[in-house]
Amino acid sequence: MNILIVEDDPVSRRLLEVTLRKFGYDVVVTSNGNEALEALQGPSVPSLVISDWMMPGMDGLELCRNIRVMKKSSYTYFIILTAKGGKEDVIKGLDAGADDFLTKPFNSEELKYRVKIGERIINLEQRILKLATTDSLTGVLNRRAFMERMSEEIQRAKREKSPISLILMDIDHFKKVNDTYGHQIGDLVLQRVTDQLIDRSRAYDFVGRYGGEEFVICVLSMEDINPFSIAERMRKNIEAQTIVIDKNNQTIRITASFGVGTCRPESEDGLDDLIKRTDKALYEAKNSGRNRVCLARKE
Amino acid sequence: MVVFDDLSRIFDLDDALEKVGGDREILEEILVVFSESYPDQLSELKKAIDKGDAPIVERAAHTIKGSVGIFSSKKALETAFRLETMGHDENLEDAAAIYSKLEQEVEELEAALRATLSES
Ligand SMILES: [Mg+2]
Repeated sequence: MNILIVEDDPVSRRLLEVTLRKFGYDVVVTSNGNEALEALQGPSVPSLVISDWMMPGMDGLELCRNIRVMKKSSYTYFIILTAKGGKEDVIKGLDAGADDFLTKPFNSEELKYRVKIGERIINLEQRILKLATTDSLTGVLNRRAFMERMSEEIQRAKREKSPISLILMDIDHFKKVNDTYGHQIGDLVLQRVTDQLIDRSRAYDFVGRYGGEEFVICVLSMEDINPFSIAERMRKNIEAQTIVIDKNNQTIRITASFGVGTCRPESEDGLDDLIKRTDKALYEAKNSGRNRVCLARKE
Repeated sequence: MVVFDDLSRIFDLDDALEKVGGDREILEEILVVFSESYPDQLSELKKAIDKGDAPIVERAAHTIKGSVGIFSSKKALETAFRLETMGHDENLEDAAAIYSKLEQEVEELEAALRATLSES
């Protein structure tokens, strides 16, 4: 776990740093509120903050309030340091959004256990977040989480002036699988198909379950990548896959249809428009005989 | 080597060690930082007293209190706390005199820490 230290006194700062490192934590060390806020913007953001209260400029309370209004995808656990016999009012600290407080001069054992409590809460939050964003059958993102992330990525792609693509996929005649072999086999098919989608997507792309037998893949387009060929590879792999459905090694094979849409950086299109166009392409793939990839019209 | 007649009045090694989980190296390491930083902290405090800037007196004394507290220095901690309170109450009447006392105690603490921690 990554811990952010905010302390204006160099002596206390070093003590926190060496003690936490000794306990095996990664630490980011800052000496004031502004530096701390900056450290919380980066890509590998610390999830736990230990901040002094009394600091010149932005004090610990203000820092805590600032963190609480930041839009963050995960929680920041905040421990505020107070001084023994000090004038700081602990209630005021908790009211500003601090989770816990520690009195200086602290004992390293106490620090260890306070941090452990924070770590437990952070881990719990991450587990709940994972449950809330994952499709339990296939392990990929659920529809809501996919959409949230997709709209963030569209914003980012526009800022960075790069194209972004969406692949919509629907398993062909899935109802027949369910009717013929039962829902358990249906679930197995969904899982095996997901394996292929994950296998054929790149590290930065992400897969979601859009609905019953419908899946979505976000392709963060780079110069060298063609989303159509990614979809085509997925289609071929699914078509080639034999799925063992019972102990007697009985197998079935399935196919899937794909629509591929791209949002170019100069376009005004939002996520809704992109989905609409891609959905039409998928519909076209279904109508023209299934087991194929169709490109959406340009925006 | 400096000899102190009653070290325990200056700082409590056992207590300081207990706070860092018995790790003497940690104390040695932060002593280096303390030696580097206390002159600036004292001079900031002195300037604020001379200017009559009570909020800075409060904050600067508070910071020194935090540093010396780590080494379980009862004497210096109490004196720093007196100055912090004076700053908080905006009554700096005796602050200059108390400051001289604190300066002496902090220097004494640093020397005592050096003497004690450099022994092996
Ligand atoms: Mg401070």
